[in-house]
Amino acid sequence: MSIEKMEFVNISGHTSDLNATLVKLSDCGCFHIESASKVAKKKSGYTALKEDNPYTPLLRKLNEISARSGVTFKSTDYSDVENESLPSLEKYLSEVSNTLDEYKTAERQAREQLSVHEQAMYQVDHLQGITADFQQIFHCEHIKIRMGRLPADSFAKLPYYDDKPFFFFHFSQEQEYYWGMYLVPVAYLDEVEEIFDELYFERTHIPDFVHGDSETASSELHRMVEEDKKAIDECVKQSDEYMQLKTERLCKIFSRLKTQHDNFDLRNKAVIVKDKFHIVGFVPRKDSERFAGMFGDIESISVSIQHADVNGKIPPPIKMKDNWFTKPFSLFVEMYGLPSYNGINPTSFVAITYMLLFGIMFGDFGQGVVLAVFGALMGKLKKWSMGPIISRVGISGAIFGLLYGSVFGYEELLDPIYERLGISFLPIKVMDNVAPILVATIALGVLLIMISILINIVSGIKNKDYESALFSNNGIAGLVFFGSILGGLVGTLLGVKVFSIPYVLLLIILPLILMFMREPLACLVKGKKYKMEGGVGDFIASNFFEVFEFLLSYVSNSLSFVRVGGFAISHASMMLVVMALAKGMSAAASPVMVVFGNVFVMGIEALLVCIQAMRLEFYELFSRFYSGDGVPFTPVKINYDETIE
Amino acid sequence: MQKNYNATVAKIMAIYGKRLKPQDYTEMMNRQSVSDVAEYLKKNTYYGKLLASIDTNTIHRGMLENLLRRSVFETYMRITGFEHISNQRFYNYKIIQTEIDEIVRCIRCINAGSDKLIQDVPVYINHLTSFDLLELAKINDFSGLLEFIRKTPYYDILKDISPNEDGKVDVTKCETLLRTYYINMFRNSADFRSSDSKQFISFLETEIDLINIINSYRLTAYFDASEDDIERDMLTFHGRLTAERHREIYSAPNEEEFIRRFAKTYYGKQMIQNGYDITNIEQSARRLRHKYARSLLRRSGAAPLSVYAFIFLRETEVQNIISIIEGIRYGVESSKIASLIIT
Repeated sequence: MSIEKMEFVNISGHTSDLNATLVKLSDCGCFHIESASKVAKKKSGYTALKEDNPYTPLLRKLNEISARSGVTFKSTDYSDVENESLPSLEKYLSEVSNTLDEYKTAERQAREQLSVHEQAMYQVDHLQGITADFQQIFHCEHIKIRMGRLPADSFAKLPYYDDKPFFFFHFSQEQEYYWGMYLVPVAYLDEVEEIFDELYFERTHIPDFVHGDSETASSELHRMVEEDKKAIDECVKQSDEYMQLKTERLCKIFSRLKTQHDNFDLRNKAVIVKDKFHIVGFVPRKDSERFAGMFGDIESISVSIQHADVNGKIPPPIKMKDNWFTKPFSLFVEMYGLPSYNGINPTSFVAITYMLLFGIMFGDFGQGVVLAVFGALMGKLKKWSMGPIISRVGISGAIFGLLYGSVFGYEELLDPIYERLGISFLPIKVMDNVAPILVATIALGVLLIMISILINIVSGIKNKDYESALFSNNGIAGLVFFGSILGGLVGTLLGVKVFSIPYVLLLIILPLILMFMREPLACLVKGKKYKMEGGVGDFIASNFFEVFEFLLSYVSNSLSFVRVGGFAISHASMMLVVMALAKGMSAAASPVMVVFGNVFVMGIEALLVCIQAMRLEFYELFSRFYSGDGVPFTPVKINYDETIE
Repeated sequence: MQKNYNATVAKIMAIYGKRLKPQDYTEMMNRQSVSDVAEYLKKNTYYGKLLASIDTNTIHRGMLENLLRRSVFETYMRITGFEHISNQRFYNYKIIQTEIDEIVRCIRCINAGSDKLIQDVPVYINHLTSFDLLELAKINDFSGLLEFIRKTPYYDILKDISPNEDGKVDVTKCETLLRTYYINMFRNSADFRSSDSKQFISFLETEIDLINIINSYRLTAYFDASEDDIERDMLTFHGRLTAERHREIYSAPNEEEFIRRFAKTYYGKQMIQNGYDITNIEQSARRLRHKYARSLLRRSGAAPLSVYAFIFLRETEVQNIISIIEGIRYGVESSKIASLIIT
């Protein structure tokens, strides 16, 4: 449960060495940079560097080439092009871009040709049924023919024009349109054309290159379309071959430019005082010695390493230390927010409690094993961040499945084994122990809440936050009050008289008074004077309601854990239904039902239980000791995946 | 006991969530042509499904507008069909509204001697109306119209109207009578709970107040109509504004005085409070109606109210798009188009 210790670093040197220093910083992989202007004193007369990045235009050009060619540039050794001047690189990129343009223009022209032919094919295909030659149709002397499509709404209006001298024949219909043609005597052409214009008729102009009847024309157009596609393929092939020849060098140029670009961007974080630059940031304590020794070959550089908290203006960044087992659960912690630098890393606590809560709720040996394997595979093959978590909680589910004696919903499968081993208290049949399970889960909840309070006390003392550690509902006062009430209740249930007057006065009333007076008491401990805002009445009213809310939260938070037992029972009940359904089916259908039921219950329960466990973690536990306001440790590095727009 | 149609309300809210946002309107206003607007709608909004089979390069402005109007009706059919509530009396209002609109349009065409009624006939609704809209479009005189609607409730409403020597009919009077019938239909509707009904009637009366204000403003500003003339053509229902207050506004001698008197009313104050331009009463009244409809949709969990408010908001949205399309088509400045957009 720890957080990597950091050191505050101040690097200064001659401005001529700034670039070389930044290259070293991005190479070291352990330096978290901060803006030096945050700590620089105004009196020093510093200036912050605000410069246009000279590498941005070239990177944009590269990005355009990448977008047009579909080639992604990767980082590579760029020593070959390291000393090439920027104008020379620009010239080379322009050449590549222009050549690529030529290929793309040829491809675009071929695509336009294809579009024309496809359009004609699409139109002719909708006019299937015309057996006469298109050219003959269009050259009729007394009748004019117009082909095209009519919106469905307009088609419905045609009966309105029954008395007008035209015929409309439709050949096919698609969603919004009727494809067809209308015939009109030449003498009425203008009048009918006006009607069809008003009906939004979209006339199809059959291109001159289309000959023969619809069938002949269609097959000819299909042939043309195939030829166009081949021409496009050829253009694409030529462009790909060209890019294959250029990619290696372009990758080198990209790597060099991106490195210089990102390093140049870091200059904005530095401040200049006279002819010296200053850069500040953090390095992990374990790397500080190696870091300090990195700049030996740059004469003007001096590195000062101090305690992380030395400068109150910048909070140290957070790098959590987790072992292989708990590391996946840091996903949940980061989701809530990182701890503060002097706080506590709750990942191990989350790992243990999350697995415990999940296991109790999900308990089934067979399903747990399947879930564990599924999670492990997803983590390994798909690099899914939830994979390792699922594999761990799956194992927990399997262990609780062993305790419950449940294997894929078969509740009696393990009974003979326990009998043979002579373990009489196992398996714990969930459906036969509903009340004990519910009570046990509330007890577990109470225990977890008390651990959370303890963590808060330790963290509060560490951070000298005495109000939180000593007098708050999550401090010693709260713990004593909560523990005494519970102790008294348990004692009373066991027949022991616990609630004596001194017990009530010292362990219940006194902590309540301390919680009520927590703000003035905290000031007293710190030796500060307490300022009452809003008068005594306001103080009493606000603290009364706050203390009342604390009392309610103890009850509601504890009872919230009853859901853990509830989900354990619901899991068993759902499998009971699956088994009952399978029993009522034929011999062939029954196994299918068992498999389907298991998959269904496993899927839905795993999802629900994951959410519920997370809810308990965040709402009932985290809220007692965790603020999640830390800043992540992000060492500077060259980001080759970032696109410069 | 009335059944709750919560699923319908939830569905309405889900569809409403996909409404066009101010940035969508800005994007459309920045387009150069009707095709570009259609392309934007197709690619970036939930109208994409409606326009899926449409070639945006060749689409005609009129067709696009008709498609958009049809989409409102299709949405109405979809939400009232969701829990099969369309067979309840209240939900017939859209059909009645369309029938009244078409009769009024028919009278206008008769007066103008135009045969263009067919162009915008909502033919997609023809199978639901109590008369054939295509046949209605063929009518070219008032007596023919009366004969055509003889078997519908509209006959009794219009039978006493007689054309003047030119064969022209007082279309405003006809419209007032038909709208009065429409509003009475709502007022007599018992399809939903009394508390919802009260809320709905209150909304409706607010709408009537604003419609009366818009119409009386037009008559005062553009036709110099007398108080009696105005009152005769107004809907005879009142919401927050009493009949006396209405009369006081109608009696304004000119446009400026009309605005001054209106500014003192509840609605006038509302417009000022919301930062609407009170000198542009028509547009501001539309904005106010839109605001009330939005509030009704948000506050009410009753299906009839949600359906009514939602369809009203959808119609406003379509009208916004049409304003943009027409603005671009006729080269109107984008700032002027923007002033017509109600969000």
